[in-house]
Amino acid sequence: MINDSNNVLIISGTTILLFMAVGLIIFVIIYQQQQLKQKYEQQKAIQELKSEMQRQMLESALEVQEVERVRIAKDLHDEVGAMLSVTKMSFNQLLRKLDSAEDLAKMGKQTRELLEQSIGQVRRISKELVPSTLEEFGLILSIDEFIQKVHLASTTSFTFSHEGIAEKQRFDKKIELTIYRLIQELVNNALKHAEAQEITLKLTTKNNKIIFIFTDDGKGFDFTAIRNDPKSGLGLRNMESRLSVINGAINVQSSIGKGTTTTIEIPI
Amino acid sequence: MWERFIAMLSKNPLLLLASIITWLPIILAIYRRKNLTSELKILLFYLIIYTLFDISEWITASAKIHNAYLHNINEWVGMLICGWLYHKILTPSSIKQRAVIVLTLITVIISVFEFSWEEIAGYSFTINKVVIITFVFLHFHSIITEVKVSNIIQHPPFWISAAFLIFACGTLFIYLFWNHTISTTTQKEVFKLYGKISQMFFLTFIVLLSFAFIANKLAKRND
Repeated sequence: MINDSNNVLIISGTTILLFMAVGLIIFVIIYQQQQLKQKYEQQKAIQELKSEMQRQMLESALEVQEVERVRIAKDLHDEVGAMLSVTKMSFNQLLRKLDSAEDLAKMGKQTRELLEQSIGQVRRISKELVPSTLEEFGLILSIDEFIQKVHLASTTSFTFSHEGIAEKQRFDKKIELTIYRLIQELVNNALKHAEAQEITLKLTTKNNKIIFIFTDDGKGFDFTAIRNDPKSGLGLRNMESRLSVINGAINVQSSIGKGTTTTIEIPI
Repeated sequence: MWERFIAMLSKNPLLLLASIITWLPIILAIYRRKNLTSELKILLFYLIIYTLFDISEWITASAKIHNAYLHNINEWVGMLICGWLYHKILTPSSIKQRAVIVLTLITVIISVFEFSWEEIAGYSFTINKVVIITFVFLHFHSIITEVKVSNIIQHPPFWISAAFLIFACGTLFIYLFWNHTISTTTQKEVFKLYGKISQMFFLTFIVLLSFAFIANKLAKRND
């Protein structure tokens, strides 16, 4: 009798303990996986927040940069440009008095030409700092104006096409400014580093994205090497930074001696 | 002695299986000895010590020498190694680690007072099982709160704790009522029954410990 009741106690006690043990093991597995999942989600959220903060900081930095450019352009035009114009007028008066002395008059005319060139440079720099055509007439016309100026100043030929985009079509101001600045950077690189003779620009829209393709026939470069070099990759990284603010993407295909094709996609 | 040994084998196949299956994790561990973590090395040591005691018990049983004291010493040494193992598994310098040291010392002291040459030290074994269950709780609590383990199925200490938990819970009541289950005065049929139950839980224990070595192999492969 005693043994039977002991047996029942032992068996039932053991069974209960075993059920609890198995239950505990299963609970630990499930709970630990849930905790892990929560931890990963929290880390992901923190990472996204950090990325968003970085993006916002970059956007602010770019805005500050543009404001500074406007200020410099205004100062150049209003202060330096005005002083140069007054200097030119004063010099004209001086020249009239020197007409009788031939050699002095010749020197004076050369000096006046230099002054005119300086005034022209100041106007050009001021215009490049703040692309007023972009603001007033939109992307297509401002690109047209820019490449015409560059073509006049260099021997490089430009081909610009804009399928599916009307001449006066407008996009978000940030997008237009970003594309314009990127074109400035790309043209600058193509002329200075690649020594390109022909540059092609294509602007299209597809699947709610602006697609911009820039091709030059220049020297080409090792993209991976330049990208990773802290000294020479700055221009490329600046372009990537600008695009990251508007969720754009850049793809560069280049090899030594075979030119460069840069494709930029920006969601509208 | 040899005839008695053969007779014991034929009458207690489960006992033989339990002894043989102890070699499974040992072989797994020796095969992967270069990639063993420190906890698994301690576990291997535990299994080797257990096997040596097991062989001694077979020899003494075959020679009709009373070997309850061997079982008691085996349990005592096993408990020390288990304490060392959990000291290694738990976070260094934590309260849990210190608790493991204190509890292990308590079981050692109790084992000394409860030691018997003739009988299984049932109450000492019972306390050992309770302490092992406590170790497992502490470890599971660490797993849940610290969230450092990415894949618990491939985490060897988890399988070690699962093995110890199942074995301790399965045999706790057997040792608590040792007077009625595995004492020298217990009825033969009752003794055999609880002996078999105990061996079955031991088999489960060894299989789960083997998973610890397999999990280690999978974890290293994925690294």
